[in-house]
Amino acid sequence: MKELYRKLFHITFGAIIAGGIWVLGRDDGLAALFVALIAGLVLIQWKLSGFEEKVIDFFLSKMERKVTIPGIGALMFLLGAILALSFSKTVGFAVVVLLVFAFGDGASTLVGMKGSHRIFYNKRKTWEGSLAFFFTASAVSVFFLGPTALVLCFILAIVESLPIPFDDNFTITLAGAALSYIL
Amino acid sequence: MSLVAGASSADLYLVLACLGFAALLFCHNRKAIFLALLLATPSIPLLKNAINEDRPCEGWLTCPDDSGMPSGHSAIAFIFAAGSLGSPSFWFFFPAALVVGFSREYWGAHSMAQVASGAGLGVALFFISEELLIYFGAIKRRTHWKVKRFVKKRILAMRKAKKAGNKLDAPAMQSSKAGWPKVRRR
Repeated sequence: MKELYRKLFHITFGAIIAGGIWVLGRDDGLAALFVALIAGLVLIQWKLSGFEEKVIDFFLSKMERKVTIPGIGALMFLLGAILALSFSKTVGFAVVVLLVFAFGDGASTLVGMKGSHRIFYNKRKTWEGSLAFFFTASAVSVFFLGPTALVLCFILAIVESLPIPFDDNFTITLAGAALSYIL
Repeated sequence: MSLVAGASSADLYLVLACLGFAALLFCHNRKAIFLALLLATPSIPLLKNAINEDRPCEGWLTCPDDSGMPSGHSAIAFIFAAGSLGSPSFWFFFPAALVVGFSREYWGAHSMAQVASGAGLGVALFFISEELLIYFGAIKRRTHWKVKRFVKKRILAMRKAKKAGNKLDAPAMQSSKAGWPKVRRR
């Protein structure tokens, strides 16, 4: 249940950030994300110092995995958004990468948890999850990029399934930003 | 502020050395910070060349020749800010990182977007370095010292309550929602 809340928040949060960037543009979007990053770092430090606040604690108890740093998931998402927007060739492509990441990653986790066919190079992920990533992300991004979106989503689905030790917020957004120079 | 903002590439190393020395004294995860700095050294110039975005170059600062995206100063400053998360030294490194970032924008060396990008890159590099070190077994996944101290205090309070005999009536045991006894803060 926690994972469901978490991923629904992930998708909503991602869609809001992508929409905000689309409206604000690159420079103002990055400035807004910078403010959010500053607020996020202060909030994490505040929580690590042992302080309690009902609203924040409610969100953390409903959505946070068992991690040592409270709110690290949201911070990673923000960092991913900053990296995608900074290093993509155009704002439009950065928005698409964020949408692909938000919807694709959310769908892959929700479907992958129920899946039973493990990927041979990464036993922690399932084929069902990766296929859910590809189809959901393609359905969202095809309106913006056309057929190119299929190639983008295919490569990002492979990247998402790889057994890389880093957070997928970094790997997917950076791979998406790199693909903006190729596709 | 002008000292920090007007720093040339040579001054950057001086600031870096000072921050590094301070980090050695205060930060509990210095290995990850140094690996992040090592990763930042080639990656920032590479990204600057790849993106090739001009600096605003307004004001009286002598404009550096290289591209502006992302800001190297803010990236390095935010590596230290992220590395000190969970320790009191955060309240030194975080404002210092903000001063570095905003002063670069104030004196026209970078735009706000370039500073934001540098800050994001710095924090990301720190977490990537930490994950790398954990993956290769160089460090263990940390529990922050403050959290550790809190947990330790609570365990001590529980033991004290157990010794007192009656768990519910013991003075140290005022049960909270999470099931942990509350600890009186000094």
